[in-house]
Amino acid sequence: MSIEEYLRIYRESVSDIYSFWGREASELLWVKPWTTVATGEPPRTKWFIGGALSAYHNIIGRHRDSLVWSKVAVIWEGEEGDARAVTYRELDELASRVASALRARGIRPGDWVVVYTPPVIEGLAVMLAAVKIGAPFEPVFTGFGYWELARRAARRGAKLIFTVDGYYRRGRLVNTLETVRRAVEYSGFKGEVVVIERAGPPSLRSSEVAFRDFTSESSVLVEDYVAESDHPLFGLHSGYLEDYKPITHPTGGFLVQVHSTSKWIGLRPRDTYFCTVWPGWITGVSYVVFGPLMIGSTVVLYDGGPDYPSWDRWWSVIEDYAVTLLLTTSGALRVLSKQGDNYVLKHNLDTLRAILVTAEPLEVDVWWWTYRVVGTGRTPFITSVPGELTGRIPVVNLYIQSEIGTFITGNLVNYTFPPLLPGSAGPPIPGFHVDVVDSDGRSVVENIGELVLREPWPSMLIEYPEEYAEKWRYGYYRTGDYAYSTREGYIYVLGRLDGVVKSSGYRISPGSIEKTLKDLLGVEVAVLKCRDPVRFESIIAICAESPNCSEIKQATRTLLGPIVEPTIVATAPLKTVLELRSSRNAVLEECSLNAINKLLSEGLN
Amino acid sequence: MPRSLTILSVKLERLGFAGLRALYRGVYYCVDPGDLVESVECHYILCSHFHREHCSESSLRALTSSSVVSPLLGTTIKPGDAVRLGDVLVEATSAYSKWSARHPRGAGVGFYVAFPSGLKLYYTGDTELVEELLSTSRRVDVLVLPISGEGVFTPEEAVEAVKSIKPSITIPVHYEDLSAYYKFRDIAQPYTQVVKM
Repeated sequence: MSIEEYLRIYRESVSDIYSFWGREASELLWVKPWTTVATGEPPRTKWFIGGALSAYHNIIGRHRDSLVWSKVAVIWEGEEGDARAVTYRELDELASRVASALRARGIRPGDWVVVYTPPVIEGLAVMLAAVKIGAPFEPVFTGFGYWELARRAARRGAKLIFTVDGYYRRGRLVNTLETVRRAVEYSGFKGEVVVIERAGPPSLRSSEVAFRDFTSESSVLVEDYVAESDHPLFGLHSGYLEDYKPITHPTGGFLVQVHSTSKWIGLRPRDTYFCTVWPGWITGVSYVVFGPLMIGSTVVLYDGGPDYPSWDRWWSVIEDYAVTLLLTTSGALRVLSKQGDNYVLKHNLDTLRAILVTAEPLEVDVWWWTYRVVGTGRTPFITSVPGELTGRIPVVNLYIQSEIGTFITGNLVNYTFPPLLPGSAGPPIPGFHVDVVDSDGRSVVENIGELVLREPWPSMLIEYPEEYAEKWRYGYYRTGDYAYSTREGYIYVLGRLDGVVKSSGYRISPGSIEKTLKDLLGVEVAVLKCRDPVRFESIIAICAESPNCSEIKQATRTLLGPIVEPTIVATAPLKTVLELRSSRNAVLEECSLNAINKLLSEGLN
Repeated sequence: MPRSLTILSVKLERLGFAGLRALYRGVYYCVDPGDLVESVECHYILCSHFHREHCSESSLRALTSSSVVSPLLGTTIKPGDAVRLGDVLVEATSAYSKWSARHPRGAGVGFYVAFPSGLKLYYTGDTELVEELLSTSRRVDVLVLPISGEGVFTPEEAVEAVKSIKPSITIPVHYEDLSAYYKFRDIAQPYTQVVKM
């Protein structure tokens, strides 16, 4: 569509977002319709007041008497090469068995369930089962270590932790159960650990139960829980400067927002959809657990490394399962593009209709590589220039944030698709009043400012930290990201304004690393970030001179997880470390000891 | 390429050119194993017909440890016959070609296999779009069908079979040229979950 047509639709949507989202909400199945679309000032805005609905019925149950019911809901492939498939009917049976077992264990609506698994069908079924009985869930990414898992489970007051015995990455067995056991010991967790068998028959302790036994203990049919709109649906811990803080999304508004955006990004019931992001991060929650299943698509889960046994593994998954939509991260494409074209070109990816990208800025050269090499296809409609890589399908970059819940900018395959600008995160999605502002809150065009939302969105958080409320202080929501807006409204996201690190698509709290190292190693550390050509940003730890500084890499890896391990650890006097921490210097332009030494000498001057 | 696919407690693996092995509760059911019959474990062997890449008559005659079901050897069957192998019910279906002399009517069969776990697997055998196949109204979870066009479905005809049978999953077999797979996959994608094994 033309930019003029897009602008007409977009401007109409944000001229009255309440009517716009009210119309979208009517596509869900409500047990009790809402009486008021929204009320209250942000951040306390509540949506769909008086409305009640079953989240599970809107995700799974709605397909019961349709052709979707016998379709494959999830097809899973492990790194070792074995695959499993479940239809919607079987996924419902599995989730219902888990729901029955949860209820039998005394899990009530509002009780939290923690899921710490790699991409496995049972992990997905647990999240759906929790939704079915009105118990909110928190997925914790397995890249986080036992310290983070323990803190999250404790903060949520979880009664159950679901995990796997282990899983394979690059051919190596990762002992997940051991991490969970350390988390249990550390946190004094009194609940039960349910262990999904993934790597082999585990030998369990008395407070642990095998998933198979857990699900066979009760066969009582559990009714779908009918939730008020603001009932908690799921939560995550979002990275802030000082620490990770819990946030919780509401049932009604989130489902409305995720249903509409899933439809708009191009998902259809006939799609086979491969998302490389697993829940633990907002993209994986919104666009694996909820959106595609609400639409009735088939979801491909790959539980393994992208480079095992070689760098063509994801392309092989696309070829073997006739994948039509790929959702991945800029960081992943950046790495894949550096492996050369041949890994892609030896596969036929002609079923792909679109490539969706998120998590961090997508550089123009990576966009072009993806468009030309991955998106070209092998079967020409007309063989006009044989052999030339011309680009055949769209490569769409979209912006998302945990607090917002879904994508808010990007070209929409099934809705508004004005001409695409490589390197941008596209124009704002209708219904989201996106703007770029200067420090006084004035809109800026063709200039750098902060990305904000001027109006609330349906999935307004129902639980949030003070930092989030603070971001609403001026009447609009500050995302904390630098951005540049073109005259037509295309957004280029440039990175974080604050010290929060974006590394390989993960949002990492520097304060959390500093606190943990202080508590456990007794070292004072300033966590900074540097520009990384592959990961976007990397972590640097400047440690106040101490013999324990040498243990930082190992400690962060074990306690907090491999994704937060600093690339470089340097030492400096305590005074410098404290100064660096309080000033949160800007990103270092390169990740090198030279750059750090330069910073330290400038800091000392 | 996945080395196995498990659905409704049945683990499926490809065997050679057009074959398949299903593992259910410790029992191996091999369909058209070709020469691999001598090297893989099979408790029951289902032979659709006796072309070398499907089943070798001499190899089967030499076997003593497996039960064979086929139009010629072991428990002999013809379209419409049913036989119970352990917990599994196997029905023979029509499989033949009208346009090629390679697969005359009466020489071969397909198999409709019902597992107690609920899985219904339809191995069409070497066939084209014959009336009996198109008129079937039985539920099929996994469809296994040939796509090379050499005395069997062309990729386009195989898609016609998919649209008629409406399986949840389809595993194409019986092709050497990958372009046959791509053509089949690209047309069939909206109607079934294609899995290349």
